[in-house]
Amino acid sequence: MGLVVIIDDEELICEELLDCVEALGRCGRTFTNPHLALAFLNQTNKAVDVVFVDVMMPEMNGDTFISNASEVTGKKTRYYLMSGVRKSEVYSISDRSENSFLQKPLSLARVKKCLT
Amino acid sequence: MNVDMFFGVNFLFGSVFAWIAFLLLGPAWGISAIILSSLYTIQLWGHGYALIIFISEFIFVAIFQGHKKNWRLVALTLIYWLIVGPIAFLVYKFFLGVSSPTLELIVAKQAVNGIINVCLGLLVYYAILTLKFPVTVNKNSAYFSNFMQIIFLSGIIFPLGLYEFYNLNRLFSETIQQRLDQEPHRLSKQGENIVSILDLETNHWELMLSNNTDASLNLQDYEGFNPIAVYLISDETGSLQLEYGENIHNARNLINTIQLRGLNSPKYFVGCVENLYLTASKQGEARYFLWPSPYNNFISGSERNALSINCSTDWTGGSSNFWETKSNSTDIIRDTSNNVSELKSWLDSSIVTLTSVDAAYPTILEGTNTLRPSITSFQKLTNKIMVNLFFIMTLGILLSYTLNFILIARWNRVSKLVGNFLQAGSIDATAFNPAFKEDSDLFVSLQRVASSFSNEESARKIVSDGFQKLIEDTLTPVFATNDKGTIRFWNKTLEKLTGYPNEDVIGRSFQSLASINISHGITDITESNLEFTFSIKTKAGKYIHLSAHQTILKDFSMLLTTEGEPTEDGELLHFFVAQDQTEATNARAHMVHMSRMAALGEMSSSIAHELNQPLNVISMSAGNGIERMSKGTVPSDYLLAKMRRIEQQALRAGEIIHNIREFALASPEDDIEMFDPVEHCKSAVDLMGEQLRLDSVKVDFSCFPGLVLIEGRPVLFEQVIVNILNNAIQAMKEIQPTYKICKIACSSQDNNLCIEISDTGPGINVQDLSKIFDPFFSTKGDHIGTGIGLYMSKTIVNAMNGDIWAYNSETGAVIAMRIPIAEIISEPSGQ
Repeated sequence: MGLVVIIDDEELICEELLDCVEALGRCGRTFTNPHLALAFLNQTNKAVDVVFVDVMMPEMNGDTFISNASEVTGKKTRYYLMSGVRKSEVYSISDRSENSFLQKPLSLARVKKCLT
Repeated sequence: MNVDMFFGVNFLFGSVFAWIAFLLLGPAWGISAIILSSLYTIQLWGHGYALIIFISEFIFVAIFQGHKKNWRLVALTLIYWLIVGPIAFLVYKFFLGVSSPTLELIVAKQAVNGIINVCLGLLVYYAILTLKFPVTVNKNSAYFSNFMQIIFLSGIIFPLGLYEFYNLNRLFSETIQQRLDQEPHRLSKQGENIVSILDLETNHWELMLSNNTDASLNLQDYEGFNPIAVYLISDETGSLQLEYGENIHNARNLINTIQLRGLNSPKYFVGCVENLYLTASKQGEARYFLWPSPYNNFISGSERNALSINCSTDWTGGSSNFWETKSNSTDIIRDTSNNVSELKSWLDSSIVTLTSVDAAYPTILEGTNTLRPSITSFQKLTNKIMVNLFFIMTLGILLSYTLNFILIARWNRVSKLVGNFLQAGSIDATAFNPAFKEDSDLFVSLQRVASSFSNEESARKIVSDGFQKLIEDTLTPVFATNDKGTIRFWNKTLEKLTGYPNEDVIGRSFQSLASINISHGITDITESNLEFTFSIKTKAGKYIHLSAHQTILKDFSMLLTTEGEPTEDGELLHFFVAQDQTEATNARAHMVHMSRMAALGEMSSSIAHELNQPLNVISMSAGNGIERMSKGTVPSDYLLAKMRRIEQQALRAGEIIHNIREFALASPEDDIEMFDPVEHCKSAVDLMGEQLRLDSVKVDFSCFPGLVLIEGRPVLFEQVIVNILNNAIQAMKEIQPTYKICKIACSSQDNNLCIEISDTGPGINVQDLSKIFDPFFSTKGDHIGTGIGLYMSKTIVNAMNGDIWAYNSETGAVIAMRIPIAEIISEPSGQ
């Protein structure tokens, strides 16, 4: 099974989400800086199955990250946007499908569903 | 200015100008003028005593005049001359050697002159005041009674003085002319006597000089009468040759000599003998011919009165000319040199009269007669007149002062009557004497005034009643305070608005009831006509907000109490007309609140995001714990860490909610307090923390060392900072994250707190700079922003007596504020 990458500027969220992923038997990597995450995705040989990315981050928002990262990772990688606001409030993500949007606070069941 | 009245009696008018200068310009000018004018006396009279006398006259009068009591001037001048006159008399007598009659004249003249001058000075002064020339005079120094007194006195002195001086002058001229007319006649009479004497002497000396021994006289009998000299003309060409003999014998020899020479023309000569006249005449075909003597002198017993007989001395050639006698003439001979006083010149003058003796005697009789007796007697007359004038002036002055005091007493009486009438409103009829028309006229006038007052009073009452009803019932709030700010009037509209009836409010301090918004430097509403706003907590506990300004109505004391009686002590009242601004104030407060909500709305995404972070951590921590526990044993430290995390994040969420709540729920009704602006700036930055972080905006906060407090509502102040930061974040949206910097600089200047918040955005369009604080103005587009953020910020800052403005710097837009410092805790050192 491929890697799960978690990108959120809040370190605690990265920790807990990683804990959750690992509790579900998967391997994960966390990044608080989206640029570093992009760089990782560019150079890793490992297959990345799922990417959880926060929408509202300084320097680069989640939607921009997905646009950039999906060119690297290809279509097999599933991207999920995490946000504390309603989808309609986040500009330019209204194009993304409803399924790729995760409303914070996250539940374990929802995370599990994203990983399967 | 000198007027020579007659032979040396000079009237000087220089001191008139000194008195005018004194009255109009003050003592310093007066003294300068008197010194200048008195210097002329040295030139005029050749001594400095008059200078001293005139200057001391001025000083004496000026000193005793007292403060502004011009009415004393004439009396003091008179007193001065009554004191100084005798002293001057003695000074002139002993130091100048002037004779007593002359002294009498001089002293009396100077006293009269002094009084005339002060009267003239006062006349000119009062004329200037009456004609209202643009001069500045001391208040309360001019007396109308004094003016009347001077007119009265001048009416006596000037006509009388002019009349007397005119008469004196005329009399003097007549006297002199009379002497001039009398002299020839007197001399001609003497001439007749002289002819007789000459005839007698001629016969006598013919007899004496004849060879008729029978008729000869014993010369020894005439020893005492020997001729002193005999003069004759002996030259046939007509030239004068004097030969004289020292005694009768020599004279006889001389005559014989003449005879022997054979001179033919009948000539006469007169020889001089003491008290006798010697003559000689042709004696038919006498043995001798005698020639006329060209010159003779008679020596009389008096030096001054001399009578001389002259033959004509016009020797023009030709014997016949010799007999032409001079025309009769009478002249006054007087020494008019500069170093001789006029009086002395007249006293030493003489009338010289020339008259022919007789046709038979071609000789001229010259009479010299001194004028001294006439002048002396005239001087005595002048003295008498001058002294009389002085006494008449003195009586006139006394009379004028008496009339003056009577006039003043009358005036005061009338003033008192009118004053009593104005005070009491009634007229004391017994105080008037109807026998006098002035009294009866005044009584009638006062009655008319009383009647008109009473009508006016009634009219006033009607107007005042109407006015009182108007301000009581008007829908406009009206109230009045006294100078101390105590409420004295509170109309029905205010009663209705505030819930406080009249009796609860009257007598209370206005400031105890109302919270006044002190702006524009107004600290005492009674001292300003500017508009001010104030709030009152109604009886029901709500707040109403009003604006008011003072009206021009003052001192309607009698209108203001419910009983219609004057207010206590007739105090001055300040009326204020108010306008209910509660709706507008509430609307403004609502707008402030809405703008805060709008600000919160703009922050809603970041707020939601910020709140969801800790919630997310809580939910994930709990979920992870549950998952691990459901799968098997979980180490206790793992569970402990999760529990702790959950606790921390819950508190964090609570803190976020608290801050937002605090910001959201602040009310414009919150109390105004003193607060640290720097601390609340930082609170506002904290509130915006998540938004700033998400937008990658760095905040550079700089502040002066020291602690100052400003006055206002702290949450509203935070709202201003939040609004400005929101705008800055929006402005820098398109800027690279690295360059998104927001600087907040706090400094102090001239007891004001200065805050500048700048961004690194594109700046504000120049044409928008003046509009950005207008309500509903936005540069963000229709769906972004409400356009009231900066408007509300301006409203809030203005309410704190501050200013806010915007400008562009090199790096971006700057919003600047200046708010007065209310208290300095520790001295800021500027920045």
